[in-house]
Amino acid sequence: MKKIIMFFKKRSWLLILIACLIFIPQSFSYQAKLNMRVVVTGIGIDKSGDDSYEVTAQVIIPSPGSESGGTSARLDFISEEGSSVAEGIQKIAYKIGKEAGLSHTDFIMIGETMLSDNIVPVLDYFARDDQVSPALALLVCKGKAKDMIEKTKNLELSVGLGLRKVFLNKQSSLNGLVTPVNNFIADSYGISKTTLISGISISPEGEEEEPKESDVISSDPSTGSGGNSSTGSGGTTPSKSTSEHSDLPGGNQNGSSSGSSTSGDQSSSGSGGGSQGGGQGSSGGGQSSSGGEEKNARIKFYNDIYYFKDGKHVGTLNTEEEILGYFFQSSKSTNGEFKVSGVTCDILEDATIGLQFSNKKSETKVSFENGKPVLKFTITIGSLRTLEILNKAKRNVFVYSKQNKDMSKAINKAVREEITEDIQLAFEKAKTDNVDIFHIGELAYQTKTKEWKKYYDEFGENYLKDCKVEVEVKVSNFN
Amino acid sequence: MLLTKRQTLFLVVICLLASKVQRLPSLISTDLGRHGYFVFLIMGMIDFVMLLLCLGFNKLAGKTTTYELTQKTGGAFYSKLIFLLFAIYFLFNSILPYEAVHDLFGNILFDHLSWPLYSVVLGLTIFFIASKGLKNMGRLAEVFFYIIVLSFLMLLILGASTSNLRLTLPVCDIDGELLVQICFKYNIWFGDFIIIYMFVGKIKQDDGSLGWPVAVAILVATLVLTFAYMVFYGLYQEISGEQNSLISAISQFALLGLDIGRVDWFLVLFFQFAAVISSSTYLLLASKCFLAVFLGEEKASDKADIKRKKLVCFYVVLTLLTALIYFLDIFIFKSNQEGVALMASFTKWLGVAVVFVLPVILLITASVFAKKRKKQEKNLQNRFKNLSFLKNSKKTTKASVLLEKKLRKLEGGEK
Repeated sequence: MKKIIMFFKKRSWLLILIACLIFIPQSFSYQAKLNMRVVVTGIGIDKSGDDSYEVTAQVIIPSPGSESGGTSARLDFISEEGSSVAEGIQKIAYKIGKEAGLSHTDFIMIGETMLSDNIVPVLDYFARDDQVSPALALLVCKGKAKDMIEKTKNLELSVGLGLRKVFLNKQSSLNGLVTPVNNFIADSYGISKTTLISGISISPEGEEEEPKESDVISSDPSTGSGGNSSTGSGGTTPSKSTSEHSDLPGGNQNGSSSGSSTSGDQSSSGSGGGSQGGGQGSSGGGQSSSGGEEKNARIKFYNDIYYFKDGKHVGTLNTEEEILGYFFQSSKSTNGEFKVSGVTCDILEDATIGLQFSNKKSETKVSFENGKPVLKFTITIGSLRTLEILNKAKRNVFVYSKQNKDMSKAINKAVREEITEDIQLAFEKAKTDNVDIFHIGELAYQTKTKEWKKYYDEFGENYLKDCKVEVEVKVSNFN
Repeated sequence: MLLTKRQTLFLVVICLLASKVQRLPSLISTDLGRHGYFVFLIMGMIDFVMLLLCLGFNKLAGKTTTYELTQKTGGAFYSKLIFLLFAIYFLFNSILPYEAVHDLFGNILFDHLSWPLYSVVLGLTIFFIASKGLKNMGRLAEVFFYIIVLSFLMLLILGASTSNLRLTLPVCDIDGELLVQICFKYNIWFGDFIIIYMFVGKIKQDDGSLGWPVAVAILVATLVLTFAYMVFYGLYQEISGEQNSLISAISQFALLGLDIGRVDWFLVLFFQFAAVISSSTYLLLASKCFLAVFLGEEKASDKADIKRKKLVCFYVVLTLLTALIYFLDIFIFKSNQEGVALMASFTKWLGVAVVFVLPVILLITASVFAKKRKKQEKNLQNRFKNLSFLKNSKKTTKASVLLEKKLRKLEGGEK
């Protein structure tokens, strides 16, 4: 043994040679494997028949000589039909003659045609595949996912590829929601069986897409929506902010701020940047040099929130108030802008105030009063700043005085009322569809198990009927 | 002396962490769901209690090795039986971290990897590390300990920042019977303190007070692992069973905003050093135990030809065990899920015997040994006293010189 060891010690080059002979031939085929792989950055799923799905893959095709972070790559879209998502992806790979690499997939876009059925089984593939990230973001679009996903080519490349990151920024600033596919599936097995997915709408700048009646499918009444489906034809009214509040911070960014936040630098101030820039909000999303094409598409600012029960779509939060109401209570949304109207005090008359807040924290607690669950939100706004005041009263220079206690008091009060009202609106809207969007059931079960079990034994699936929501808003620092 | 106290501590912690944060949480979550952290807590506490028995054994043994102690107390057959149990236990424990590396590289990182070929590399690596002996193993642990622990803690922090720990509530609706069953089923993954038995008598400056640092380390590690499971479940809830490895899964949601991809994979790979070191350690100890069963333990007093013979046999046994691990990995663990289930069902009684029963037996053995030694010492002292008049008369006999030497040796051993 010693002789063998000494032999190899003196001739260590022999060991290196043996290692090279074993591993280098292996690596020859790895180069080929890299070239035989196409990177899928997004997936769209539509229903094309009773038992078939149309899967559209957004793939990135690098141009020769393109560098990492460069803009010379382009997006391509390949669609195939299959009896399952897995089959669709396989066919796509077959069609392009390369292996579909899903480890860089950022989002899954679900078309409206899918919403009539339970989508959890459809997403099963993504929960099981080891290559797919469990943080894959789900998005719902009106019409066909294939059409919407193809519009991403008109967005700036980094936006089109990184919708998840865009929506993460939007989530922190009150206008988007990121629902990872794993969370969607897991939550559908919880007590409330409720999950929410953000909508997405991409359109050329200045054009808002109206929902087409024929494309919209109503939800299944058996889920207890009471026929009050918000996806009924024409039911999806455009968000108020898009038409009425174009001058105010919140409403000035139809799609533009998302474009402007694409660089990733503006992140949570994406909407802030847009608000201050007004019409300049689109600057970040301006022309991309890719192939000389003009990238003039924008993502809608306030996107609808679709709520699901047991994997089936039930309704949508589609007004600005409802959407804001959901985000105000969310601990993931920490800053943003909104407006309060009808503020009156000694120097203000029916004024509309534009406000910006940051460091918002939200605490949730469930208690039982008279045997019925009460969900209490305590929302603490770390910093609140007045952006602009549109006052109907006579011109008064004291409007610019930050020390005016009456005005501060009035604005504070209006903020508290607005937030409370918005949250209640969102809750009541979903409550009419018997959907527990704030997961009162889960919270009650986790923290007040005995009382909850007693209550649930009595009311069962209709437990939401007697549930209440209370909101307390505190403003720590008001400028 | 081969190891310092620090090296011993580091080896124990590395072995403790290596296999528990890979596939085990996923297996437990399939059965117990959000209450799975109780398995880590309960088994960790049991390990802590058994560790105290082990440390008591260490104190009573003094500078005597476990083999020597058991041999002197219970005879050759007794010591060989115990070491055979150790050998089989260590062999199975060597497979677990090996499988963890297989899982990570073969199933998660790469989708088309010729694992039978790359397993050769891993096999050669653990063979090489194990062949260098305990001293080098200790040094290796010292070199990599901080990077392993830091990587683990950073991954845990990343995971905790996005996890909803409330999902592990409530506690009161736990199924106690199922919990006990699962603890029993997966007990082979615990009990890492058993390696200390192999270090007894081989630790520098060990006055029997290896004691509190190891105990504190195991307690802290238990709490951290319990928390790690809670973070894992808080992220994946009902789909936790689909995740192959906790260590690669918990940081998935933390760095989504970065444009540069998943930099946390560096931390995952650094942590995998623990799996390689752990597998090598158990392999080395298994080889030593098998060798002790057939040829007895290595002693400093062995003659040169016996030493060479034992060394050759050690390499042969090491090679055979490495090959066995390789083939078990390729054939039995072809399907990781089924291989692990098979292993869990096959080894649960072995785990109970080694982790729960053996420390008690060994502590009793050590107490008997300590009593015997005390008695022997007394006898020697008395005999020396009787011969002391010879010393005074300046007439020393060979016997008295030998007696004096023996007495000094005994006194030195007790210190």
